[in-house]
Amino acid sequence: MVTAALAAAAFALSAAAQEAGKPAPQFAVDDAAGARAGEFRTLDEEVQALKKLAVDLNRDLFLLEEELLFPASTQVSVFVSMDVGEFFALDSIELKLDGKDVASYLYTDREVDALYRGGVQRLFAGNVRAGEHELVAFFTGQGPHERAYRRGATLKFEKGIGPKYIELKISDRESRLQPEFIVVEWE
Amino acid sequence: MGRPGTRDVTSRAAPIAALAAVALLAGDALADKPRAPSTVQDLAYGEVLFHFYQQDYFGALVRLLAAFERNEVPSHAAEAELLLGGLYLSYGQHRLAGEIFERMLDEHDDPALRDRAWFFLGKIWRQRGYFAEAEQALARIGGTLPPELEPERRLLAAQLAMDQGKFAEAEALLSGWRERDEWSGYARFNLGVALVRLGQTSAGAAMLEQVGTTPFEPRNETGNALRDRANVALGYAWLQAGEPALAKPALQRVRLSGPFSTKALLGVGWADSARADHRAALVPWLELKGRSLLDPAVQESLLAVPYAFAELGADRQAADHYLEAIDAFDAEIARIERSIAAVRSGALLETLVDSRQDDASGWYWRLDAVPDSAESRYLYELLSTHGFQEALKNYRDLQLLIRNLDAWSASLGAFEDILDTRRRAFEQRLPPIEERLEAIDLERLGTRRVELEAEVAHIERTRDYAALGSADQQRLWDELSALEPDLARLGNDAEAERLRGKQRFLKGILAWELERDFRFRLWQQKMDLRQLDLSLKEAQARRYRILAAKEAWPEQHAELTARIAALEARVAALQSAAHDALGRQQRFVEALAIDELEARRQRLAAYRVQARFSLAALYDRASSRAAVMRRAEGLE
Repeated sequence: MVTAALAAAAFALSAAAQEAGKPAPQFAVDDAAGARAGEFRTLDEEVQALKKLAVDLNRDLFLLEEELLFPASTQVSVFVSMDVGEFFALDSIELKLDGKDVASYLYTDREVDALYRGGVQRLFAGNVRAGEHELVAFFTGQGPHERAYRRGATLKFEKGIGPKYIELKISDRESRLQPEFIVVEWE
Repeated sequence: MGRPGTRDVTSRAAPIAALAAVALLAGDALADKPRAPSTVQDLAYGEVLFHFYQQDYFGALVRLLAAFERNEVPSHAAEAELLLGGLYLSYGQHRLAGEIFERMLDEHDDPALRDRAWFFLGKIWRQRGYFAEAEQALARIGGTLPPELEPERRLLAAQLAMDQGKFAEAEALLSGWRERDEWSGYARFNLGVALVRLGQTSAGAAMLEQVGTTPFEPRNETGNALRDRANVALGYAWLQAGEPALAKPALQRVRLSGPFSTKALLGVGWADSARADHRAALVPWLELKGRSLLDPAVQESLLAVPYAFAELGADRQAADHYLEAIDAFDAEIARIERSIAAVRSGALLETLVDSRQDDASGWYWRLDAVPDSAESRYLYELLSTHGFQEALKNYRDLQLLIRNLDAWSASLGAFEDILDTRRRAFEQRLPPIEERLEAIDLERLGTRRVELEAEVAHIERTRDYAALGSADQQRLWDELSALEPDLARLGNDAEAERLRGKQRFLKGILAWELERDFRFRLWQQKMDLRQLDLSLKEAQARRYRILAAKEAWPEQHAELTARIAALEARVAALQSAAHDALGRQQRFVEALAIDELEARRQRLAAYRVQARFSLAALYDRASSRAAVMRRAEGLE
């Protein structure tokens, strides 16, 4: 906006200065970019088209990558979400699948904020055989009254043919003024 | 991904996110926005938001498109589409964003969201020089823009009119502006400029005078700079109109230390000079001489100073200054030519765009600080123009795009390895699995299961309690039953009768026990049968899955191989096209810079010609004067 106003002024100034002094030409800067507006537009349309192709290509590559790394028949993905979160400030989550450590994640403020606003993080994606499995999650952070807080949540789940999605949900239990950690299986 | 039906679901985050995507375009920091409640209905949509809220717009865009492809956002279809529009816009895809907004917004039940989206799209389109599209976008705005955006919208509309040379329309748009904030200052400034350009100097000057004498609230550098700018424009407008007496007070209001001081000093000199007060003109012009020669006003002062001396009759000083000016112009022209050569060698873009810096807000990137180098020192004003910035942004976007493609190119090699590993693992595991499958005769097991079911049914129908007894009970039952013929042959004496009675008693107790447990045991048998059913079904399902996998694998493998090959080809083609486009974009940005440098060089060359011409005229005048003197001396 400021630049635009300047450019408009510069034009007026250039016209004014042209005739103001006898021997001197104007000092205003020409809008070189403006003079090449047509060329800019052609190139801009080309860049737009390339970027569209790139975005679509990225989508297809992303889908292929997921299919290759985590085929539906073996895929298990663990997501983290936060509902309100007044009673718990998340620092980290550790994840054990069938007794093995599979994820240990330390959160930045930006990530916590993104969760708080409704973002859902895919914390872990891996492959397991069909059958029964056990997932254990440990949440570490600050609880009510700024006290260090560590809680665990467990889920036994059955892995079938399709991908398995599990949500670790941090929410507030208003009645007890305590955080609540819920593990939810998605269909 | 469907949601478990038992959960209570509310979705309030999604529309807020869509709105935020649009709001982002104004450069609003998300951190300043009120926090939203967080429940979403589709995990995939939440995952997109997780990236979006961290300003990873490209990651969010790719995930959202993938989610659409897999139909993973059914509960957020409309918000997701709007978010897609916002994300396209943040990625510089204004055309696609416009199409989505056009489709989604006009029927959207939230007019505030619609108006904001059109406002930001209009703003982006204007920055990119798509004036007609920008006008159409602004025309779609209803009446619900928040108060902080409304002044900007009015100014934007006026700017668009001026961009297209429709000054009378700009005047009409701005004439009703009464507020005293900074936006109104810009509006009145622009209106003043527009009126001057329309030839209505008095009206334009009145407007500029207002801006040049208004203490803006809040009092800050922006307001001061605007006031200075208005006073410079006003001064030069009066100079152009042949009113130097009116020009001088405006120019003298400009701060001596601000960015417009050189232009003001030059103008003050011209105002004095126009009134033939060349001595007074020398004061600001000599002040300018000590300043940076990069400034066009300072360059012009090098000509103006000797002009004033010459007008005052001080030809020797004038000649000295012209000679000094010619040297300065020569040196500056040589420097500019070196800069042009440096720009042509590609050094400018290397200096301006460091593609290694790829922060999360990459696509919102704008060059803020100009590096101090031979290539960029003359380009400060050019670098501040939308045209140059947008061209530079496209150049950087192409660089990022190429890096993205290079990374995928490497990944595709890894994908081939993964697929190959899976193929080998499949080929290794399949024979032992097939062997085991063959060893288990599921059909025979199935037949046996049917027989068992029939047996249980028979036991139930005939109430064959003993059949379900324990092994001991069955042995005892058989033994007791086997005694019966022998006992029958013993005759009818008392001892025989006692033995028969004992046998009947024992068998009766056993029968009572068997009957007592019969129902439970029958139920247990049925349960076992059911369990057997499940196990058989599971075994059959596994067998089916293995056979299906065995059958499908060659096709799957071929399909994945073909997809990888096709994607490799697409990546390679896009890499090549992006490199070509990058070359063209680089030449375009460099051409903009060279145009600017060339204009400066030509201006300095013209100054040099003027200086030489004036110097020659001075020498002529001096030699004519000397000749006159000599003739006068000869006469004596």
